[in-house]
Amino acid sequence: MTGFSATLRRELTLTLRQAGDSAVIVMFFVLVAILFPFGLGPDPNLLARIAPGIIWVAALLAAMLSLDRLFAADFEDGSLEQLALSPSPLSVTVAAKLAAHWLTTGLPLMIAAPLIGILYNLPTNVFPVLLLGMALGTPVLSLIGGIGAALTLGARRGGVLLSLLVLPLLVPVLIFGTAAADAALGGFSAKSPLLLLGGILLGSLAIAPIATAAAIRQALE
Amino acid sequence: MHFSGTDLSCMRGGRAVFDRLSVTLAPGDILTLTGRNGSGKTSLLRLMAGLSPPAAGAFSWQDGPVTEDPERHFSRIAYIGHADALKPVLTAGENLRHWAAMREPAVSVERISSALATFGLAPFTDTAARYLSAGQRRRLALARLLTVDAPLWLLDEPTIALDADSRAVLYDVLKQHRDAGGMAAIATNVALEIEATRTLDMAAFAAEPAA
Repeated sequence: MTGFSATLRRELTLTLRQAGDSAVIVMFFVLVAILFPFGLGPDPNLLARIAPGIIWVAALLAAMLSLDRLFAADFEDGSLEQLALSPSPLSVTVAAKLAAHWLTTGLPLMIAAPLIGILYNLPTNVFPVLLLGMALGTPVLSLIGGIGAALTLGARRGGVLLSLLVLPLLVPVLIFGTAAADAALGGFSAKSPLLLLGGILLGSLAIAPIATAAAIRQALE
Repeated sequence: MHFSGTDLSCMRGGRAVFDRLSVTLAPGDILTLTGRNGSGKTSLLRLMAGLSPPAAGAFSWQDGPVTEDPERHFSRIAYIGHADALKPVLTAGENLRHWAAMREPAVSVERISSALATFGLAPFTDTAARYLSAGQRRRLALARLLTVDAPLWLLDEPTIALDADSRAVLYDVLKQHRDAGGMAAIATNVALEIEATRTLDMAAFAAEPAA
């Protein structure tokens, strides 16, 4: 586990030194969400009904923006080579990078989500389910996004390609994340969409570090 | 512990770079790889490091093939490529500490400071790497060699950007490594002021141009 803790510490230090990068992602998230009411009009009932969907779509877009640089900077400065050559398994190192990515983007997005909920007149009793859904769903954005980021290493316009590759795969997260909040909004039980989100999370946890490590080795060849 | 590669071939972008190349390193060996640009010096080092698999042939340590236990192989090598693998926002000390922390056993603080001091970087321990010059960055990358216990050093053009004094330090470090039974493979375009026990001219293994 030396590789995991060392990499996690380094990634968090790097993010702290470049705190602006994370702040920009959160600001983008909030800004995208704020744009919709300008186009849709100020009907409070309509806004409350569409709030969960808007929050999830904005979170997906914000995550895409941040994934672009997940491995690219390390690829360009030679760090990725060194990580791949470290005696610690690359999948463990990659898991640390993905964990750091969630801590520095997914978690801030979660914290910012209630703010958007309030702006959209979303009843406060929906917040717990919305946040639980985001707690299960946003790590999937980092995990599946990591595979995409590794596959597009070295590609021209990798950022655009990454979105084309990853966004369709994240549609289930969008569906069940929104469904959970909608259920709570309608007064139903949100148990099944949340369980499905949990299942997707466990599946991605098992696959993503290994698939990402394999894609990185391919990119370094 | 010997390290050897036999009957190696390398393909880059569908082109054969070299063919039927064999290389052996014994404790105390310093191998220099020479040859014109594009002859495959860097490719050979990357194959030796295990970054890419050879198109044909295999590498092995005395106790078994590299592919049998890649992580054991990685723990025995230190590879310094063209890129310095430094993070501009981390200080020189933090950069070095991170790479040392990726390996077991843990490296002492004294060893990190002495590695920095050897390469004349002690005054820059708390300086962010983005303020270092190209030569200082190169020295910081090379200082990594002193923080790991790897018997085999793979160095790609290590003297680039180094001034005469820094080159002398590098040669001293290499001599100490050699005298301690270490091995090094160095790709270089310039004559090194260190006695190589083996040299490999890549031109001898150039692949036949494809028909």
